[in-house]
Amino acid sequence: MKKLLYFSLAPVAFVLLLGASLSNKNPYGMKRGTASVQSISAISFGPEGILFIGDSKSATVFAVDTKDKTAVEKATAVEVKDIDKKIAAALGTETKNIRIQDMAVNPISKKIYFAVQVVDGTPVVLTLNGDKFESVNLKDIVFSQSSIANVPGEDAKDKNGRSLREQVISDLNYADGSVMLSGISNQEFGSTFRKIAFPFSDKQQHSTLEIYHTAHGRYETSAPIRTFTTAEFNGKKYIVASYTCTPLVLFPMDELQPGKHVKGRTVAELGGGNSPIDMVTLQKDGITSLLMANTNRPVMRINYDDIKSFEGTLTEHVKESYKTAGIGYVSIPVVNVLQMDKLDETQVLVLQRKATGDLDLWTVKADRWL
Amino acid sequence: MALKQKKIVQRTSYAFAWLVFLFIMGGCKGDKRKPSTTYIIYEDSTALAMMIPRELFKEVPDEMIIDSLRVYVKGATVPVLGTATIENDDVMFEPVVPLTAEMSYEVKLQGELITTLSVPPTEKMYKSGVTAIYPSAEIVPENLLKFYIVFAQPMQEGYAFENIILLRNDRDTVTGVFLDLQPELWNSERTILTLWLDPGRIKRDLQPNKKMGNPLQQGDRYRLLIKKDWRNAGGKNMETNYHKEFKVGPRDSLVPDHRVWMILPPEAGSPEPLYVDMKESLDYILLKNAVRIKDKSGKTIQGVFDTKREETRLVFTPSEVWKAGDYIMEIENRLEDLAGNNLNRLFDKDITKKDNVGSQEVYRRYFSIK
Repeated sequence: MKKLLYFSLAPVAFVLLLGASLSNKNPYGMKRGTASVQSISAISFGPEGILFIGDSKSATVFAVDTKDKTAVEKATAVEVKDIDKKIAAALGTETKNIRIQDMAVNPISKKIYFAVQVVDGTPVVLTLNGDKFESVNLKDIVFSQSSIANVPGEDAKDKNGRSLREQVISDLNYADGSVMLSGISNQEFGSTFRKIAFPFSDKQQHSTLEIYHTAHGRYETSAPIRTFTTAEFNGKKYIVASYTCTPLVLFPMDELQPGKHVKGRTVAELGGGNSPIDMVTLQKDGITSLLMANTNRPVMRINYDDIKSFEGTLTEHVKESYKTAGIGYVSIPVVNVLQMDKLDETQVLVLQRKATGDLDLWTVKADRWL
Repeated sequence: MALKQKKIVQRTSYAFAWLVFLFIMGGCKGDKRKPSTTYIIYEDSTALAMMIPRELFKEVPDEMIIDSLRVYVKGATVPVLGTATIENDDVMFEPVVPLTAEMSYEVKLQGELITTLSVPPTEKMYKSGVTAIYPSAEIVPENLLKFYIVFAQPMQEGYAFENIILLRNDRDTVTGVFLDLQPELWNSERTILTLWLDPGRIKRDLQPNKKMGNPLQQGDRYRLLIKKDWRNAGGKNMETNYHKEFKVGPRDSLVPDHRVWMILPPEAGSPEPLYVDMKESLDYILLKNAVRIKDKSGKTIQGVFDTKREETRLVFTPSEVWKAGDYIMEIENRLEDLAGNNLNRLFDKDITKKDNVGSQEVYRRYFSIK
């Protein structure tokens, strides 16, 4: 039976290979043109230097072939003081007119990319080349795109003055052939979590998931995911997500199926009045750690072994005030981190608002934080 | 270049004065020579490019100008990102992002100052302000979930928390009330901001609720203050501060009940609105987006939804006069009251109780026009 299957698949594979070689050496079905990016909420890298851009305004995710594929094993530590002033000057404007919306490191070239939003609404992607900023061209490039518009049913196009339901992309990541996006609605209290197969196709169904977590006591919440990453342990892949009211929740990847209501396992409550910003996974001496930057807390370090061994979900009341619950974390004495990413396996890149008000980009040896 | 033909060319007042001068002198009629003035190419009052007379560069070859021309924000050392091209008698510099109004630029070639340019203020820098704050009710429930702030002009993103203050009993500034979401929840035009009160503090039994209590206290008076420092996308702040005063009433722990709504149909042949009294204030944006009127055959009646009487009354004005017959009002389950309870569930859903969960996607009410 198996042999028969292989045999019947051979011509299919041949046609696929032929198709791939004919389609201009682009295995991702991308075409040349202008990516009409209207806003940038989040950026992240996929395979082979492909940059994913999450555009909330046009409700689209773009995949841009940056052609930035020259492998660099170890990145040079980067330090740029007053980075906002330098970016503003490079964009011909003042610091008050720009916002660094997201930062991503190309895992192949280790080059740093910034999504910058200018107050007049112009979205820009910049890279840092030595100490110079360069603009990433979005015109006449090789790209593909996929709409994530929320269509409210048959009346989506009616003239009743109502718009399509709007959402703001809160985070975007690529793993295992899928782009995953979390979005927050600006109307009802709720969020969407989408898994889109990449390469994009016209026919594909986006899987939209209802993701809940069971919180303390009796209440279940549909609070929006603010940031997430993917991790693998005990031979299983997981989404590690942190919500706006800062619980840390685990979702098995294999349960994320279209239209499914997925309930996550709350493994930690990291305290209120805070919102998570970025997550990075690093290893040292066989121990894998999750680093998480926050709006109102220092950078936290959580040991994946603790996440692994935490059984069940957090359903007990937290009796003592000001005590966090579930697995513990170590506070790293670094606050006001606005963006954080892995520069390479041994270095972390940090965008931090200093006590002086300056915005600095700097690199820390991961050893110091692990 | 296409850009040049498409754009409306607005010369600086200096250039205009020059032309007037030439006209008065009467000596240059029919002379197509451009005045040697740098000017700006605009589109919708956005300064897209600067045009520098070619003659200012004298004998320098075109290739060298294209390669070595640098534009700087006055006094800056980092050059502005953009491209230079030769366009007939001018050198066109197209920056990556439009030039900023009221800023000055220096054009240099190999370190030598060629000319300077100041960008005049534009129309869209004015007419900024808050046009409405929702809910408009004077008394809101203790577990109020969100505010909508509606602006006259697109605003700058990322400055909400600096510019919104909540005062209790005209004395204390209340902190930690709003959820610090990055990115902020704007509509795509950036004219409506959705501002959530920290859901973690509203949901009973969640840690932030237990630690810090409800963000709003029953019986207290509050003033939501929007600071005039908040700038619009054109860079101008508002003329005055805006505020909304409200009192806090009891907790709303009931899902909205569409069955008690009173539908007040107009007469057949009339263009008058249909009124629906809902007996309680509901979410302003969702009322305008989650309700539809259909005829018996399921065809949507075109028209505009608005709200009155502190969002307790929904007003539907049809595009055409009403025809006699039976109609259906469809309400999506996501319609929320001021506390975020929707037609299907309470905001803080108690998972130990099964009876408070509805499952319909759409709820219907029927009425006739006679």
